[in-house]
Amino acid sequence: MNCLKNFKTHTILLASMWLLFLVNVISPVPSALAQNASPKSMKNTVLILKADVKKNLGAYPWEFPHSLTVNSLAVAIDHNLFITLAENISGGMGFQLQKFGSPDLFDAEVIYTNYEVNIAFLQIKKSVDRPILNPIKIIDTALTPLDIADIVDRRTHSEVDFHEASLRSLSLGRSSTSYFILPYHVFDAATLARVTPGAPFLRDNKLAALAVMQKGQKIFALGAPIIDKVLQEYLQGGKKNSFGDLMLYAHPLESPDLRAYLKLRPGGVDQGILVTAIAKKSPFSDKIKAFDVITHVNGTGLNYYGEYEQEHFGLVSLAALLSGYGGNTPVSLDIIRQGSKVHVEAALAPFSSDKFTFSFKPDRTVIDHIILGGAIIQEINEDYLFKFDQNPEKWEENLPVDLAMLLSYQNDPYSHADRTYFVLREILPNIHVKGYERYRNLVIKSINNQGANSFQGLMESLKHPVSMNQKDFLVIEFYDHTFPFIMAQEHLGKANNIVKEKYQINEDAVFFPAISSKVGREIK
Amino acid sequence: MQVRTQISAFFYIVFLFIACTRVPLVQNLSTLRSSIFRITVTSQAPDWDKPWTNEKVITSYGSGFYIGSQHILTNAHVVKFAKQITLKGDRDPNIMEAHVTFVANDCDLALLTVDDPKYFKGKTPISLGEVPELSSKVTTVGYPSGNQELAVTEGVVSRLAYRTYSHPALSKHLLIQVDSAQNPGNSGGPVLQNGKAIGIAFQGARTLESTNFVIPIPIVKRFLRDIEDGHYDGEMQLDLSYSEDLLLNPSVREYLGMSTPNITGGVTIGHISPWSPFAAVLREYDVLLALDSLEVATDGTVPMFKERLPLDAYIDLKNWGDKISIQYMRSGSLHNETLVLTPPGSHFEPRLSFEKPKYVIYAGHVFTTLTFNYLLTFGRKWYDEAPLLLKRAFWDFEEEKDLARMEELVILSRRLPHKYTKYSGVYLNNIVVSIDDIAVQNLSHFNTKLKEKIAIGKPFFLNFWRGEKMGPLLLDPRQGEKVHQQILQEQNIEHEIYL
Repeated sequence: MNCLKNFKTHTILLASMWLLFLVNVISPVPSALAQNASPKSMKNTVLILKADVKKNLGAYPWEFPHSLTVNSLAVAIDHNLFITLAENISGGMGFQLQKFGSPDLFDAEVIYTNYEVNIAFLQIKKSVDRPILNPIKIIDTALTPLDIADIVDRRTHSEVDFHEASLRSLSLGRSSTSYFILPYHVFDAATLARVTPGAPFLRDNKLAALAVMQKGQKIFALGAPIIDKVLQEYLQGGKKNSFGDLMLYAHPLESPDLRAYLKLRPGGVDQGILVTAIAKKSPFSDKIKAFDVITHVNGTGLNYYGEYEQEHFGLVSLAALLSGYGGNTPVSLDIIRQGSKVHVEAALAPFSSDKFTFSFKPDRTVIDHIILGGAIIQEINEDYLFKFDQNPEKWEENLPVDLAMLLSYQNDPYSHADRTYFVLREILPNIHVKGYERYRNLVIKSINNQGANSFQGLMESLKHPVSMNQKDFLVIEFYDHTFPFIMAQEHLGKANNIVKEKYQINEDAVFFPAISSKVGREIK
Repeated sequence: MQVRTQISAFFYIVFLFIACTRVPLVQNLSTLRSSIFRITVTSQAPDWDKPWTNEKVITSYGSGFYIGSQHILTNAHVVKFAKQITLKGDRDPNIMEAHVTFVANDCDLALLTVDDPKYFKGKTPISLGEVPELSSKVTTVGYPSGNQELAVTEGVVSRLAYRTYSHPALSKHLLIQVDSAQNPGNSGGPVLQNGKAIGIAFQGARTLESTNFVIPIPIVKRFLRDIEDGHYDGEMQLDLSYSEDLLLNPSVREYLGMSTPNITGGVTIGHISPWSPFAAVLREYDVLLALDSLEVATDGTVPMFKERLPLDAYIDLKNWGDKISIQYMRSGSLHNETLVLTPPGSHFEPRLSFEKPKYVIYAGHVFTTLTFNYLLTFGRKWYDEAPLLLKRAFWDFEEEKDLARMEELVILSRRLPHKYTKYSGVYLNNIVVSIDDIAVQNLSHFNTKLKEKIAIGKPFFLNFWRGEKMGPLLLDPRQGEKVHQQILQEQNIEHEIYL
């Protein structure tokens, strides 16, 4: 109960998909010592990536005051194709690649990004002379525990650093660029104090993994199968394969009494995971019921925790055999229902990140927002939540209760899909918002009596002011019953003009949409 | 927003004076000092985390004063969870055992008495005075630090305000701020002016200099009126929210149809609880203009005691059964109504409890009720550390239809270690909304239905609020009955139920 349910529910399924991918696509090979290239040759393979990026939002949804140049690494995998982590280019405005020991900067551009997996590809701009490179291939055999690889990192501006690392395990983790939890290769690198995001692990002169984060001497890295999957996505025109989703909730079946109640044969003869709820929109909604026990997915048996046995890595958390084949893929489930075996089949639902309560915008584009007479209204997204705590794992604790409930319970992705929440972030005081100065962080229920579920819907509702006492009003209602924000239409334009002038807001960055056509300009 | 305000207020006003001054009219002190007592309390608080146990026994000190009719007035927090109360008079070597006759935890007041009526013979009751003026001199008298000698300090009235009482932490009332020194042990002692008590010393602000607080006499009088029928009904519950300052905004006035130029004040009604005594009359979007002919200003204040104080402070001085006349505007029309302030029916109230916690233990599962005390078991940072669902349920139960109907929120608070409870951990700190399809009303009702299910002897489910993802908890009496007594014995729990 004390976990981030919104993340967990989906991400475990998605992670399992990746695990399945790992298992199905790659055949493991025995361990062997890494045989890598020399530091000298690496200077033509691993380049310093200099990214001029916008980091976190500032006080207002149109400001990015924390811009800086971030140094990371990119790996040449073709003569003009470089791979790095998406987080390294997140919010990027300009990119340069630099060879170790050389002052020359090569202007580069991002050509493909998959934020969900945290991988991006760059190329050097065509107008620029390209440096001599020694690209490497992605390894086509999966590493298994205790395999050795060399991690290539940046010691100084001109020196490449090599460290030996051994693969220890697979572990689930969340990328900093998305809600998705992925399986990471966990390497043990005792001699490396601080890893650069995107540093490559090499084995047999091939790319085996990309470092993402470090905890102590453990380095979490994206493995070659995942890297290769994203590369194939890019090569096939950038069409992302949707994740598959059963759209149900399942829970471990630990209690022996519950197993007996469900008429599972004792002694572990019947194992599986308990279905606790199914979304109405689930492709299995008319096939599966609460209290069903899913014992097999496509013939693979599950234990009481929804895990299955994977060679080399042991039990792998999964619920997700369910989603193992991507969206729209048919799967078959074996079920025990009140002691009877049932077999059901259906195509998995495609999973969309839009289903999450609050959107994630790692590209750091300006967040949809509008200023209405001084009331700053914006979409609730992760950047907004970072205002309350920089650590997403603390959001359930530290967000205002209303927002935390939305995050963890209210906006159940299975039942409240495809909507956006908006917040009255704060008021820019002016004479027309007297009395409202203390309004802030109020989640909006409706604008002009119409539900504010999307920015387009919000903009549409502004065209239909509320008529009251022979006048037109803007009326914004809130979920927490705070008295609505009310402003007469005739005051809105004046208030907008005061706000623009008084707070020196750049009109290019801020929308002051026309409501009565007398004020401001049309939204893009 | 409201919750945050309460939280900050709770931690802002902090220390209670459990453990007084040269009186301006010095000639009175010699008469009055024998009516001011040191109160020694041996207490033992329950443990809300393990409700079948108690905290360790502690001794604390406070002050109190004789108000006549065999009664000593003191603070509720002085005598909370008291196992034994003794009195010691000024320059009196005798110690007399006392007991509580009435307690008002909601406004931190208590009345004590002794079994021997002769004890008060020769003692002059201290008269209850009026609300003092700002800057007027006051004298605080009591037994700070639990010392035997009466201590007297002097100061002035700094402010009259409506603030949170740190006992019971969640209620605001009228208070007087004074700069006379008060220390732990002063609690319950009188603050005097012209030979009369103008209030009771009770708390101070730790981080502010010379900032101490006094319960004013109107609060005391409300308490004394309430108990005239031999029962304390409790403070007035406003149970509605209103917005300050919004009627300064021309747009809001126009929207609400307030075109009458001679009406300049008023507050807009926001949310109104079905349990509010005003629910029969007021609605959201109404504009409250006057209470008992006192004009409500746009900042929500009414004239009181030569000051302007929040209208809540005015209503707070009412007793249940009193009448109140209200003037309000709805859709541009003026309305006048007089209503009797009637107590609401039984419903969940987010409060601090001063009674032994209720609990039910079955087969190693401990069920109790959600109280502020329980949230506090998650530590001083309970507002961060307590489970989100409990915080939401405690503060916003009205918003959740599954909870709003409940008189008490029943939670599974603990699982006692045993193989049978091993799989119940995921359900901890969740609210039980039903047993199979029977909706739970309160802990007593839960216990009745639980026993009925156990008697049937077939497995049954406990369903939890927002528990869709984890599913229900199955309890099988055929297994539960086998382990129930064993777990109680292992844990040395004598009583499996306290209701």
